Amino acid sequence: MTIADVAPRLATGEVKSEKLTEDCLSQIEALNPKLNAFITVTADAALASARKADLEIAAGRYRGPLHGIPVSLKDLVDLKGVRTSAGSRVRADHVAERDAVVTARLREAGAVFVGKTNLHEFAFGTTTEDSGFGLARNPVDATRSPGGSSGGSAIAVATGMSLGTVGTDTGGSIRIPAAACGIVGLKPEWGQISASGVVPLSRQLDHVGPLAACVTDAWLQYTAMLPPHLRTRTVPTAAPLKGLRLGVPTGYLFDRLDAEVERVVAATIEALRAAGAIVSDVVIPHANDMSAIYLHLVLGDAAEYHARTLLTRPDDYTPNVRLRLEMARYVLAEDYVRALRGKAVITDEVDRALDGIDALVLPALAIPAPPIGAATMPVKGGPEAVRALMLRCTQPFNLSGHPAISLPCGRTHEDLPIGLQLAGRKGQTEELIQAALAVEQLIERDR
Amino acid sequence: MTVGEWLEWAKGDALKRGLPDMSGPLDGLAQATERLRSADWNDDADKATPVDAAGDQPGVGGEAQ
Repeated sequence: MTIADVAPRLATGEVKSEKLTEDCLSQIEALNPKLNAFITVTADAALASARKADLEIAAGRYRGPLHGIPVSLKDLVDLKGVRTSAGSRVRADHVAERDAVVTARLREAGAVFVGKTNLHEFAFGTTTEDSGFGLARNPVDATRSPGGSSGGSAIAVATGMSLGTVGTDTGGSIRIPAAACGIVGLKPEWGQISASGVVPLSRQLDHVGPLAACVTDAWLQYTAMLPPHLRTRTVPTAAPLKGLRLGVPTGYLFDRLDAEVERVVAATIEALRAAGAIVSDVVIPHANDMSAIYLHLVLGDAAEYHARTLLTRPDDYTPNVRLRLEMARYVLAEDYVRALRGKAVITDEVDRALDGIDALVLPALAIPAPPIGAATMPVKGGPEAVRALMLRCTQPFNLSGHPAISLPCGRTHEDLPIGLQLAGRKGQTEELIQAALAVEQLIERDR
Repeated sequence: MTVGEWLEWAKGDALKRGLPDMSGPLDGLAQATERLRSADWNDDADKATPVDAAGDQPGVGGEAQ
């Protein structure tokens, strides 16, 4: 079920928000013991909000496509009166005094909050295995990770525990779990959506955005999260594939892929070409340096935020996250500055790669969802660390700030989802969505 | 401080603080630091005067407006 499908039926009263919300809560009750997608379920408040939405709609006060829609929030995002744990025992007693900006905007749009979703502790990881509230499991194969750090959010949408969800993305944490769970994830342009009231990992790399069942649902949530003056009620239509200019960033971003991911992504790009898209190779010359740049920035920023609690309550962190945060404290200022300069270089190079191009096209995730506990995965060229593989294709656009979206483009022989990523120009998120809608239609046609 | 000197100091400090598992992650960080320090965007005090890509644009390296 998608928001796009159900919203018009809510508007006419054919479907009731209370029933939709009850259905989501039933899914949570049935599946959460196994998948551990939610840290907190706000059932009573959600049902009260749903009844209120039904009354408002019946009285002719329909607010728009999110009115009465059950939505979840990554437990990094403040919801007034509810704990924001950030997936950590460090914040086990924290209760938000007010809504995050993005929460307030969704509340204004009429969204019904069903709960707070599990995540990799403090969003500092890609698998949702290291959480102070237990690991989360992939709904397609429970022996595998759902990706992360917004793993619980991806599970929630993939299984109908909520129809929409809010995630955050510092190195890929919206797009990675979206790809691993077979749904859509949109990382907006940096700075477009407020991160106020969201626990930070790296303020210069953090992005807040939606995960959704389809591209249109991602757009509907995204526009509701924008500042009022940037919102539009118009839902974009698919761009014509004929003449759509797509750039393939060859080299680093394609040279450590799982064989099935490589085959499916190549076939999708070929199908786009056959449908009339103009596909050309583009270059990001310093792509090989992105991992080193990203690591120094995220470590330096995280070290600052966690400095006091690492001293006062180190045992409240999960062991792996604590170790990485402790390591962060050894980054030297001169190397952090080198990374800042590298970030500017990458930003310029992504801008140049998009010159004369409507969108870059590449995998969202180099590997399918990894088995829980795996430290390495086999890829072309030999085994590679899971964390590095999972961040490899997404982190360029956290460094550069360009909008990027992941959408499902196929499955492995084990039925594990594979994600395709499109990245667009700054200031042109709507055009990126139009391109993504066109790609989504082609993939669904060929399925 | 060279990366090698830094790594030796960091590993010793981590051991003193009771974090012996830090050794492997620090090796990985050292590799990333070596990569950053060898990047071609770095300047050296005895080489050509830096020319900013921003040119005459306002902001860092450009003209104040």
